[in-house]
Amino acid sequence: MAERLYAAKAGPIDPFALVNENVAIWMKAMWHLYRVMFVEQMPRSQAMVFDQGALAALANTGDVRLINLDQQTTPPGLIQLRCFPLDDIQVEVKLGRAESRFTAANISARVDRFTEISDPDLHTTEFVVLQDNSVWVNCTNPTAYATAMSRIAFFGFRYTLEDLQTAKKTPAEVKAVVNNVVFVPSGSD
Amino acid sequence: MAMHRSGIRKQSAVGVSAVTGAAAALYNITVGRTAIIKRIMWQNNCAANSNLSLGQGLAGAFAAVLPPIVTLNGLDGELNEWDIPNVEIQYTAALPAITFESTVAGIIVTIEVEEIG
Repeated sequence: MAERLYAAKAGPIDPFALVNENVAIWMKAMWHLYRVMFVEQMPRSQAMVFDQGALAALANTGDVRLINLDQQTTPPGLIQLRCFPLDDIQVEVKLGRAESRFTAANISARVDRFTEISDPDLHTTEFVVLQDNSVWVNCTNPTAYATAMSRIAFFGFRYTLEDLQTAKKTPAEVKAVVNNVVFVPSGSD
Repeated sequence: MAMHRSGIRKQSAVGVSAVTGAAAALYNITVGRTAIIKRIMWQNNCAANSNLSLGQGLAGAFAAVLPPIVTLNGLDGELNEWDIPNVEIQYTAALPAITFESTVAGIIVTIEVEEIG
């Protein structure tokens, strides 16, 4: 089994781990160990498009929970997603309402219609959501005109996991437990 | 891979031109972006030939970004991107829009722009 760091994988979306492979998921400042039991693809389709409705010029939706992307909790579920807006909006992605993704020290990057121009595979928009957590989005209309729809499309893979009941602070400690493991961030540092 | 400068295509509403000296907004540029006019479509049904101008600035502060287009009475017309110079128009707080005016009021105009930003 090849060891892979999914966040470094440019190009079309690919499952970061296959069945019976180990993953260490970064959440709440710990690497939590799981083993993949099942993988299934989630194609980009109408069911994976979420419309946050009309937005006045320069308005935003506020934080909206996309509950239909939630994963089952028993056995633990996880979803790996990429996203892009269909309308001229800027999307701030959060895992749980309080945790923005794609953050620098002072800003949060957003996904907009220009993202796909420099990153056609959208790999810079990839994120992972574990059970008991939800995708939240805040959509902003940057234009001087009202927009009738604020649609975001998602696609990716979903996983069912076996919880190995182990959490470690450092990658070295994780590798002392299982040597072959994929490190997957699902939260900020 | 080289970074593209492709933009997002947007369109103005259908505007009716005011007379020279009374330029009005035709397309409001998105904050932080620039806009390049890619298509202009018009109809002159105002009983006289007229020059149509596109630019920035309202009323007496109008400054053209393209040469005036001669529109003939009773006719429609259009210019496409291969006919139009690639003038990139910047959003500023003072000049937030592409504006238009004509020597005879009443030309019906729509433009398509490509926004970059």
